Amino acid sequence: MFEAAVDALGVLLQFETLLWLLAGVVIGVTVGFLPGLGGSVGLAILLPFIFGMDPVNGLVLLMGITAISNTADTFPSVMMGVPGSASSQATIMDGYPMAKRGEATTALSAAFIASMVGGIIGGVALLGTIFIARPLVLALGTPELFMFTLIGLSMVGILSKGAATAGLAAGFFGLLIGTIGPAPRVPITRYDFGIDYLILGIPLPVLAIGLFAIPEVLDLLARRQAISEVAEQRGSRMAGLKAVWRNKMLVLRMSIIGNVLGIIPGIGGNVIDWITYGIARQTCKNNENFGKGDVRGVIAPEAANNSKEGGVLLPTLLFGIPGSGSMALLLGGFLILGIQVGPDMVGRNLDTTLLIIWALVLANIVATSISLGMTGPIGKLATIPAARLMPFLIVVMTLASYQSRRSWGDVATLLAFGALGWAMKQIGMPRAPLLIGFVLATPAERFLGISMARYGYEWLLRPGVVVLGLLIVVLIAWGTRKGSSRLAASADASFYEAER
Amino acid sequence: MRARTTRTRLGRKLRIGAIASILLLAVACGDGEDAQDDTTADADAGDADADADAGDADADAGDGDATAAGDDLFADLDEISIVVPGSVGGGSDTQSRLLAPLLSQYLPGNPTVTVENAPDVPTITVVNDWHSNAPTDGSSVLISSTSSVFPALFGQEEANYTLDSWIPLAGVTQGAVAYTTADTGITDPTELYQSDEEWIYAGQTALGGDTPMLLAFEIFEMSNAQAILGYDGRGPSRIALESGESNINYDTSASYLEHVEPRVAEGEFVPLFSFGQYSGGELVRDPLFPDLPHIGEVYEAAAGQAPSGPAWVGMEAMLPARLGLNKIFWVPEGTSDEIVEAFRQAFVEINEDEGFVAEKEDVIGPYALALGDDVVAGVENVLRVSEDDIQWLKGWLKDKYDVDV
Repeated sequence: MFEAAVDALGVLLQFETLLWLLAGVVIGVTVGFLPGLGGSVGLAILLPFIFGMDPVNGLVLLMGITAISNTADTFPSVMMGVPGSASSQATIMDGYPMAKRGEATTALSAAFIASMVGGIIGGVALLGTIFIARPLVLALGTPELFMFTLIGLSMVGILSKGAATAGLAAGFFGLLIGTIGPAPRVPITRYDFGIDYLILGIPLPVLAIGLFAIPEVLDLLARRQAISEVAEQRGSRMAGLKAVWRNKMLVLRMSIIGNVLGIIPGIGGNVIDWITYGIARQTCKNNENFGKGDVRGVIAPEAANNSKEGGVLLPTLLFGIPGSGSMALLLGGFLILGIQVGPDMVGRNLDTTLLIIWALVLANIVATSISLGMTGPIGKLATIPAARLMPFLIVVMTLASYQSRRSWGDVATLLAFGALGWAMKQIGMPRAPLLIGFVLATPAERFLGISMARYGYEWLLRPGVVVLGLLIVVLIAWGTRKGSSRLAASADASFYEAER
Repeated sequence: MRARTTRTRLGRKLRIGAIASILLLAVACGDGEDAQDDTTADADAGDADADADAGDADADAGDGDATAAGDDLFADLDEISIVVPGSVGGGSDTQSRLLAPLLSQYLPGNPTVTVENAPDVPTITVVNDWHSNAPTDGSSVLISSTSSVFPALFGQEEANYTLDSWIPLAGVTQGAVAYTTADTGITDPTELYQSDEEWIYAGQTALGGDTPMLLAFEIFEMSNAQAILGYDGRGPSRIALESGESNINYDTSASYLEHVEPRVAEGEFVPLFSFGQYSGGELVRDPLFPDLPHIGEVYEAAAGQAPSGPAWVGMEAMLPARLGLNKIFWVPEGTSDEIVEAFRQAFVEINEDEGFVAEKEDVIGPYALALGDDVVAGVENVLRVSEDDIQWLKGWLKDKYDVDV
């Protein structure tokens, strides 16, 4: 197995192959940079060209594009507190407060370095997890998948410390909004009020931008400030590097957790960074600064979200089940290249799998390096007075939302959630729980419904369910014991400083 | 003062950058009247390259492949779009992307052919729109699948279209095989007949791809068969089977060949029957699985007589739409005969193109394209569902699965 891994690396490290990898990353960056396009579109555009390509080159090209899409969205998370795409959501919790303190560059570089390391660890971990992946997935029935969504939902509670009722209310509201649109188990649509736009539900990117970005923009404009409340930029890339080094065990832990969680089909990459953020917060010492700009709150989810890419790849490779839109495209790409997915990927075709893993790791390194290079200039954006930056950002965000369904409904939704988000911010109601509830509504309902239909109430007694249930209790209780009273006292109920 | 100068400089750079970005966006997004697809702009440039790409299947063919007569048939068109009512990366999408450059190559005049998705828009909306607004000059081709066809067959009110007005160009056939795990101890498919074992099936929704399988439970009078619906696709259904959450499943031919058949040899899975194919109006064995009896044969062997009854009729009605012509390429009513002929001829030539034959298995699947008269006959099969059949199916869906159609 070790020789096979080295062999695969050798295949990868050839000049032409590396060029294709680089091409993939560059295409991914270019496409990802244009608002609203994002990684999947890059993949889609490339699909026809892959026909007839040498499988190895085609493969690394695909992996190059896939790797970058996860990395670049850290920028909006840190700079604006806008959850970019699925992957960089939890980063907003501490990344943005850091940017406000003038430490944007530190936050960004810590994020990218953690991502890089996380990606490498994840890739290496894959070498082990590919073998347990199949038995793991098969051992997990739908009830266990439901318990995983519950873990995600319990993050709502953990993240609402000090504002428990408000947080729970937000979480439940998120669950409610998540039910708008197609029902997971029957062919009906709910709460569409006869409006075409709502038939498919609320698009996540629009909700996220509206809920998190608009209030920030409004506040910044009202206060006539720059993102950074401090004129001096205190951050530096070295500081970021040092922060990651200091917390290397955290990085390691979160990478492994992210990688393993990624394997589980159904919970989706969306929630993994929230879960790892919650775990980091609960288990780190002196965690009273989480939510106020603790660099560990950036490192933890970022390390996890790159390593999870490796994990998410596994159901795609082993079962042909794509865990996300980009995975679906990747699968299409594999088909075109003639790569057969299935159990053989750890059997006869192990060398292909290893190549994919190495390509992912390498692409990840290249992507994060490019991003690191950009942190300098982009970090400085934090010093620009709001009056100059915000109009540009508003246009960009609106266009990005419009790309969702190319309908005025996108803009209307953006404004509606913008208003809601602003109101929530003013009264100190945490918004993260709403996002989590929204994202988990459909899978939670699907899994619970299937569990009940299949097992009646007996699923509650399954060993896996019991273990996961205890895990939830432990996670929540742990935090409650450790200095939560201090948290409650200092908490002002909103998770972004909200010092008004 | 110093800080202010820095900010002004930066501000200026930013303004320039902002203007540049907006211009870039405008160019990228503002292509043509109905900029529905960002990929259009790039794909245009790309299609020209695709033909010339080294290693691409097209390398052998030259322009001489295009029909000499009527070279100007498509000359007035900027481009031809294949409208895909589905997301990027889905089945219809991948197949269309495979065919687009080939169509461009084999259509007279080599017009540019692109793929237009409408992700996040309900299928019915896309098809409604196409039905009402698609131009008849051959510039817009729809690829339909079960999610487009079933609503029309069932007369769902949201579907403002029927299929009989459209003109079919070519079709993609699909097949399906039902199987179970060795754990169930079943060795012969006839054991299914009137079985009161607890059969559990993991499916997606009652009206859709799973419908023939659900009808099979009725046909075989499996009194204890339960369908757990809500799984997110064939993949999760197969995992459910492997993890023991379900004990009977089906897969479409390509998936079956890739994921299941190898493990049949190893004794893990047991094939039960195929859903067959229609040939000359009769259900025959699927040519891909000549050794596997089709569902009618199994019934007859078990019950001693040919299958009949509303469930059987309902399934026969659903099969062409679900499998026989799983995807169909259409142009709208009113398109001229010459254009239709040009398309159909292009598909014929694609079907014989060496590169296509080599690649298609991975994407289109193992069946030949349904062409010309065959696709017309196939569509007739799809449409010959009678009103009574539909009514029975609606009633069954409501009673058994609480689905209102």
